[in-house]
Amino acid sequence: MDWHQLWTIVSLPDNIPIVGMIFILPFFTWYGLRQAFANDRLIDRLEADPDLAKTHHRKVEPFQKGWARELHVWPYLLRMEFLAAVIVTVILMVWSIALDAPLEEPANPSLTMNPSKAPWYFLGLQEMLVYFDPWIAGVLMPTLIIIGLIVIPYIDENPLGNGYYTFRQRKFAIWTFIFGFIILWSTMIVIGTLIRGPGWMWFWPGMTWDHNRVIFEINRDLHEIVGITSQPWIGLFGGAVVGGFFAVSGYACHRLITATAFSRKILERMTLAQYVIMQALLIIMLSLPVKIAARLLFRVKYVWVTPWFNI
Amino acid sequence: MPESQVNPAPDPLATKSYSVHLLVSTLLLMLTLVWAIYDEVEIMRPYKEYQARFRGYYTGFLMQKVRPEQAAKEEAVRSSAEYRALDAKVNEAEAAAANRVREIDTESAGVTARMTDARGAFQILRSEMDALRYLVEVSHDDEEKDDLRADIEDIRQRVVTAALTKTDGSGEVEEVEMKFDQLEDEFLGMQTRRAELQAERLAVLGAADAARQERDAFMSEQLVGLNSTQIDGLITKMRDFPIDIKQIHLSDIDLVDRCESCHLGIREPVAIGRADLRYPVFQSHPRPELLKIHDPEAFGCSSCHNGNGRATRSITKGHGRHKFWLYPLYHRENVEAGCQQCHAKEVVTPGAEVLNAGRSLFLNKGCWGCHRFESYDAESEELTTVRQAIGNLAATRAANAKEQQVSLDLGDSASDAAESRRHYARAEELRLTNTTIDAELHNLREEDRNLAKEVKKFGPSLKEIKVKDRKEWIPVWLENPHEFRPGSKMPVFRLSDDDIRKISAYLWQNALDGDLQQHPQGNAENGKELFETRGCLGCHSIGEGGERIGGNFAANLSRVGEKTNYNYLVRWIRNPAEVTPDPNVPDAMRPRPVMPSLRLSLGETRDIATYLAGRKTDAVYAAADYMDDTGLAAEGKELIRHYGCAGCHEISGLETEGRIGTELTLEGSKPLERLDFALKTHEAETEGWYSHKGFFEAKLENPEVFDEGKEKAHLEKLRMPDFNLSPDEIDALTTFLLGAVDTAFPEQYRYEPEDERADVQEGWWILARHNCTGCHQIRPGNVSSFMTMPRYTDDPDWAEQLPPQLYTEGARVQPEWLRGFLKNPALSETSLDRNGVRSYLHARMPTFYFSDRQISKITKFFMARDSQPIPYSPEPMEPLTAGERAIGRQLFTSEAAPCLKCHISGVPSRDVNASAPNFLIAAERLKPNWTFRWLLEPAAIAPGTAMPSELFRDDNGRWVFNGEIPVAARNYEKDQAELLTRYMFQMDNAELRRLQALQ
Repeated sequence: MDWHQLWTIVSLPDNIPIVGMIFILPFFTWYGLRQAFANDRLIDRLEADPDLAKTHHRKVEPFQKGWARELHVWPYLLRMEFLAAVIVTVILMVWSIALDAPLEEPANPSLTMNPSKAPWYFLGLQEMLVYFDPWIAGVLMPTLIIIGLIVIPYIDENPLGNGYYTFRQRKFAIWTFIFGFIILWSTMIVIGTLIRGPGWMWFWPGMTWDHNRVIFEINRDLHEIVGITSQPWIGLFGGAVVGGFFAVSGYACHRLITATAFSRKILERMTLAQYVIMQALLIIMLSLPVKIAARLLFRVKYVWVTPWFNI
Repeated sequence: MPESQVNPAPDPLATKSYSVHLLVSTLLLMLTLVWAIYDEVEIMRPYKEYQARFRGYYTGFLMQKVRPEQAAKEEAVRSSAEYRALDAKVNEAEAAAANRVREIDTESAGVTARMTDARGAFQILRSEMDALRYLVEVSHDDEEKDDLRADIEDIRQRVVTAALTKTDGSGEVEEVEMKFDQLEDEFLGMQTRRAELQAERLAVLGAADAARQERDAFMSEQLVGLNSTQIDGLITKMRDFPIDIKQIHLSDIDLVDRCESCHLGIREPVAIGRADLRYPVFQSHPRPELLKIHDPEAFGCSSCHNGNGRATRSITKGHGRHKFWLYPLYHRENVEAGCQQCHAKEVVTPGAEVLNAGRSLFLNKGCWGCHRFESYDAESEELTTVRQAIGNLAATRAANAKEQQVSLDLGDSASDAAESRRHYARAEELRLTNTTIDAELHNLREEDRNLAKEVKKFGPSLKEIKVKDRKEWIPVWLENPHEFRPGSKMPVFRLSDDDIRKISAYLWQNALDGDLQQHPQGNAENGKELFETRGCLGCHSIGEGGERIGGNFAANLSRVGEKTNYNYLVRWIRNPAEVTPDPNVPDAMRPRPVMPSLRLSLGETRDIATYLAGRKTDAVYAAADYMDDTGLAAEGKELIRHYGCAGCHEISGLETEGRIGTELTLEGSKPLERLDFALKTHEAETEGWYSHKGFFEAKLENPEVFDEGKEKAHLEKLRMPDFNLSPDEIDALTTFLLGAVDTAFPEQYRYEPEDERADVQEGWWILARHNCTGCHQIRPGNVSSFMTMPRYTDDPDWAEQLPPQLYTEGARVQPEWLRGFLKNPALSETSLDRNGVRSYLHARMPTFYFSDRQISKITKFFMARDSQPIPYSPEPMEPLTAGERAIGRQLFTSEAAPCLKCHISGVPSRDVNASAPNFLIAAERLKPNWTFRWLLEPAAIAPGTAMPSELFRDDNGRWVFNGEIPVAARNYEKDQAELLTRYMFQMDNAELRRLQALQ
């Protein structure tokens, strides 16, 4: 266990946000969910007791009669925000005093640093480059992420859950968020920061980042494993596998979406276009962990090899 | 129950007070603000603390230590008679001028006051007029202009009341009514008067000023260090010392150095020691003489020392000793690396002794055999270039000749005259071009001949081993040269037994066969004496451990008898240029040896060879029959190529092999990541030697260190052999390599002179390569091998036998003579077995195998060092009158200056006991100026010389003989030293005979 190495990585000013993220992200997820579950319980009570529903609003605080149903933004919200702003300012100032900007040596075009890492917020993208071709990982996927974020309000027309935390009414959205952001995106950033060392090799925490490390790692295309050697069979085979993946995962997603009466009701309200777009984005998102698993566990390089693109 | 009747607890969201939270977080915010300001003002600016401390300590140091010390010294000067006389002169002159000065001062005060008053009133009027005049200039209306002009005229005629001080010194003020013109006259009149008064004051005080200057000059001459006024100035400076960034900015190289923000004492005029101001950071530059030639205002600090000149936040950052600063401050032991970056063309830089040692090691350990380094072994590269140029020119010439013939033919067969003329003109043009090419070719071939002589491999030729060496010795030597000969220049290669067998087989089978002349044995005892005194030990050493004597430029010969046969030794010592004929190499192409000829007689040679052949131990050598196995030899060739043996040695079949090592010219600026620390990377990082310095030191200390732990096949391993360097040698080489950088400085910063200083630079290369400093002292501080030998240090008679010092050789001798001397130090075509100048010396100036170009460069070197012009044209000398000749003769032979007692005079019976140079050749050898100075003060030119000092004394600007003045010279009015010089330079045979007759 190379504690020195571990400390070097963890204490790097560049990596402080990531280390912070490892703790803060789960905490706020838990905190939000706790609120959501509390609200869900309140909703249960209000639905069971119509009288109560007349006099109560959906506040999380233990409700008492006579309290105003709504409060003004000023001063009740703004004073909290002001307080938060002050605290955040304190944190940022302490941070900027205590930690210097992580500047390194002047850039030398003929000598790239190793490992050569993107800024921390792009490390997820950089990690994706391990699994996909540059134009897929660097162009297509980010574009889809942005498009996906843009279309959320057009796909998700569920009016419930606006303005308050709830899990029961937004199960699908919350799971998608937890899976897509917390598990996929943040985990990849953590991997990129703490796990990837010289040569972008996989170093478990505590291993020495040895520039001379040599590992035996041969990645093969899926068709090579199966034993197909010539086009167009290679392309057709890969297409079939990818198509199969889309079919299977599409079906699985559909089953998931139609699992409860509530979600079926939401599904009914969606148009076909909304549903198809949602499905496509979901499946593509799902393809990322599948490819990661295929690569890390089974050493598969490409699934679908064509003369024009490789996936 | 209606809600209103319930009296609920207050809604916490609406009623809960956040005052405490707000108060605490706002206080925290204020606190961080204070922290931010404190951080900005104090923590980020640690130099403030340094400066505050420096101010205190330095003031204390000046007041308590420097001032009293200097005051005592000053007092000593003040109390001297000379000073008191000068001081009295000053007082006298001042007293004489005092009355008039007082009058002038009084009047001047009045005049100045009145002038100031007049100017006030005058200026008010003038400003008013100027404003109106401007309006006239910009107005476009003639009528308006006229109105304005009238206004101006009104002002000019206006009568104003001015309060003017009277000039009689009473200080009273009179009210005067004046117009503008009158005021102007008054003002200018006062101004003129004041200037007159000031000029007069200067004139009156002239004598006193001159006397004071004389007195002060005397003081500053006598006083070592600062005087009290200067020290008080420093103390005052400290009182008003501003606490701020001290910065040097060089805009042309964008260098910003703030080093002096903490290193405050660096340029102080007082020498501050490491402990004087409590902290070493405040000490003054330990070598202020270097700052004089490299003014920090023009060179900065980090340009020489490296480090991050801009950073002021911490020591680590300022010194740049962290991972991300590419130019960390040089460590103390490597500080001279900074010199190399601008002095890269030199092999000797005065003052940079560690660096010089590093360069010398690089040159004399043969590093350049494997590693290219610009300027080292430049001759072989020049040779390649010259040969290429010759080839190209010859080809062009042939093509031209061919075209010329074609043009002639075309001209002959052309149909019309114009066409024909055109072809003939072309042919003529080509003929002329070829004539030019011929001239160029001639020069290049001359250079080729010179270079062929100059190019030398580092080690001995291995083609000779069959005639030279004992067969069984070769594998023993290859296994570990340092065991056979500790400190040998041949490094230890990590060869396997198999490698050794194969390599020795190849070398043996490819060596030349030849017959050596057989010589009878000589006298070993005499050989030992000759070996120790003739000059062999200038380069070679003998004896091991504490017994070792001699230089370390060439091999230690303690066991040479075990390896080299007697007849070869005789041939080699007698004429190192004589080699076993090689059918493949024409004589002109054969490299000349570094070892010179000492022009020994055959008898002497045999004696020395006999002595050396007897230098052996009773070591037993195993038979090495495998060396005749041709199969092994074939494999040996590949191994020799692999280990790069041909980089240093001439080996048959491998004459064209290149260098196997990496080029080191810019090694110091190679990115650290490109230096392969291999498995040591992590260790180096955690232990703090992951740096260029760390790499060089580790590698030089143990060349295979970066193979440690690596799984490699035998031939994949690092090839650099082990030189067994001492820690000092490692420091020196590391310094040299650290300085081997791709400098970012523009040309004007680098020391690449084109005047005679370039001759000095070039000359040192030849001197270093031929170890001239092994025998001669050429530079102050240079210790020759002779000076380390007990015989010369302990015995005063032998001390006089030291080879001459060459400090002022350029001023001493004439360049043409020096050229001839270097070519043939015997100065004789027939009797070679002697020294041309100092035949009394046992040590002999050897004949080196210099090319004409090298001889010319050495001559230029000595002349340039003493700023002597080439060619030398002597000043015409006043002829001696008969009387002067007689005086000269008498001086020459007088009891007090028995010149001929020591100097060679051409009488063989006397010259046996002579111990000084031959003055008969003075006229062609020496320069009169130098000779004159030599006569006056020989010890200043050559410390420790046997030539007596104070032969002449100064008699009111004229040098007269210091002994009993000969009768003939008693009435001689002119300079006697000068006369003696002329006498020596106008010596002819007739005079010589007369002189000898007197003896």
